Amino acid sequence: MTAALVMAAIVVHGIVVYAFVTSTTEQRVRNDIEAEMSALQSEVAKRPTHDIARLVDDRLRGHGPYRFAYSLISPAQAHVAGDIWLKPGNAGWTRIDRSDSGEGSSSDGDVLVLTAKLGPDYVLSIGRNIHWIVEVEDELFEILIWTLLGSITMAGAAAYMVNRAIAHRIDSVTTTAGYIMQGDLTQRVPITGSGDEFDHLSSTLNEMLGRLQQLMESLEQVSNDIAHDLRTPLARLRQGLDRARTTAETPDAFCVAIDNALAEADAMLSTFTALLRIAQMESGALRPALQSVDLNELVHSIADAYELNASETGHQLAVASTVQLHIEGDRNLLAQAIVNLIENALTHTPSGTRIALDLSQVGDSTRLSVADNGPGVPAGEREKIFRRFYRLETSRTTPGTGLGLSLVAAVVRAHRGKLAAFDNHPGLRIEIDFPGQTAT
Amino acid sequence: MKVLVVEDDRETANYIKSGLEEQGHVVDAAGNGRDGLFLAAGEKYDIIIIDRRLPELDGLSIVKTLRAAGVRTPVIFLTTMTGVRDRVEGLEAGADDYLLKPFAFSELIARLNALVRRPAMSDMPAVLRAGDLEMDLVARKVSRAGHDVHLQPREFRLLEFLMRHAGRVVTRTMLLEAVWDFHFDPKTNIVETHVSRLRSKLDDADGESIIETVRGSGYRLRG
Repeated sequence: MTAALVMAAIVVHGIVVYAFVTSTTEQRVRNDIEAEMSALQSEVAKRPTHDIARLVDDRLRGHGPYRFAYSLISPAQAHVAGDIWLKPGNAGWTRIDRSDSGEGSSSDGDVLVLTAKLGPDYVLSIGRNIHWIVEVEDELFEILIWTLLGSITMAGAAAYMVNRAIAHRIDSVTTTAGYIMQGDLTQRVPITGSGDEFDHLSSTLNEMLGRLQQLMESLEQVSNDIAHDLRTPLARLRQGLDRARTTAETPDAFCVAIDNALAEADAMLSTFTALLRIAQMESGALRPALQSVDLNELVHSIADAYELNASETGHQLAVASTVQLHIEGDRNLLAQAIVNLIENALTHTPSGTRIALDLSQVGDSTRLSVADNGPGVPAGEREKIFRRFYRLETSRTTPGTGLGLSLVAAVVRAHRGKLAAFDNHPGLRIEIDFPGQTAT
Repeated sequence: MKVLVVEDDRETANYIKSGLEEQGHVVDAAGNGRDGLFLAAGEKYDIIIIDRRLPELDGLSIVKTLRAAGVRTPVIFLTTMTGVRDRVEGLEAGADDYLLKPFAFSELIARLNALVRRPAMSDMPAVLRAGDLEMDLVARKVSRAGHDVHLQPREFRLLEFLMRHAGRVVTRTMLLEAVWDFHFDPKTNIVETHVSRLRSKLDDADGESIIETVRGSGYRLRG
């Protein structure tokens, strides 16, 4: 298609150049002849008594190499003046071959002739050799034909190569898509590294595939984990109700059984709430309601809320933050994330552990770090703690949903922040970097 | 008390209706937004419970229309767990409180009572009294039976909320929202810890606590 268009453009271009060159040169010759004709006609009109034949002969002598050729025919149809003899023809333009011209014709090739009445009775033909025009035209035509052929060949070759390259790239996308349709989500579109539009498209496609794969994996993971993690409390709930039905006799005993069942149900509900929150944030359905949040104030007020509980379990809760740092965010979600980080530290470290909350400005972002000097998390597992339902072997028995840090990760992602866990030598340090902050 | 329940989910509607009727309240129910608005605008209710999402006319529009028409009846919104934004929108539209589904019935009752007997802003006193407890809101001072009690700012807010609702049940969730501004459910029992700290500051060592624990519901300040 493109090749055809390119070729058509070349052909049209050739035709236009050819037509323009030929028509303008010929037109110039015609203009010259017409000027000569009207000069002679006005001279005859001025001096009607003058000898017309001599007038024409005079003209013959006055010209250089590109002179005109003349042929004057008398009323008696006799050739009375001029250097060529032309058969008396119709008035107007004619083109004659050299073979047609009479004696006295000095040059070769075609002659363009204008025939008109001169005075009342005579007929004058003025001609000019246009052989050179024909030559130029022929040459031009030849050049154009060759260029055309060359261009068409090159355009065709280029089009073929481009088409082949495009077809090849598209084929690779199609192949990848085919694998993915068959369920292999690990396939990626190859990237040539040339940085062209195809590479851009391919890397965008790959990013999309990566995200899809991640979503699919987390979906799979979550459905497995939900099934696994909710079986236990459901089984406990069922056992409790079953036991109450068979053994409880007093209203008090029933009340205890019901209270236990309610507690189990509440725990499951809160697991589901957390799961839904995470899922909604990750799918973008729950977008943070953005407002300017004073992180410093928020961290202090949450730490204040937890101080009493921390001291009861023998933990030390310290906030090292004095600067006011505002970020654009959802206060409620941020509060929940900070609460989860503190609760995570309180739950998984022994009595006597110090938990430090620190807020600082690092470059363009605001860093919130929650660090403890507890037992820490082994290097290989540090990245996994943000996964849903992930729990360290050592904390299998600790109560909790296994979703606290996943929710933190989801909140951070929804705020376009970065989250990472480090070794605190000893202990665990979790750092959150929120982007584009304003210090006041 | 005359209550209007606008809820399209039949089970939830019946749960609320029968529960309230058992307690001796009169309940009208509407299954869609249009009927709900019609009843709310035409009848006189003490409180209206509206689901956030309803067929034909959603909860937000009902509240906005009612408020625009000058109906000041207290409104409680019911929202699902997605409701982080719903809550803010609902309160901005003119609702007085919101409740996340699913909820415990005791939570609903506590909130209804808190709303219905809420004093108008104009007659907010500078000094709150409950039994032998006195709270000076201007001087930020608390005394019990004439003896000064020193409270941390957070404890002061906790006690203030209890005193404003003296004699009525306040739930853990209500306290979390009002005192700590937590609109989610933390694992840690911060309410319990703070209430027991408050008790230790207010109560005599031997007698019954002035802050009563209501099993399965929350707390009640003896008024």
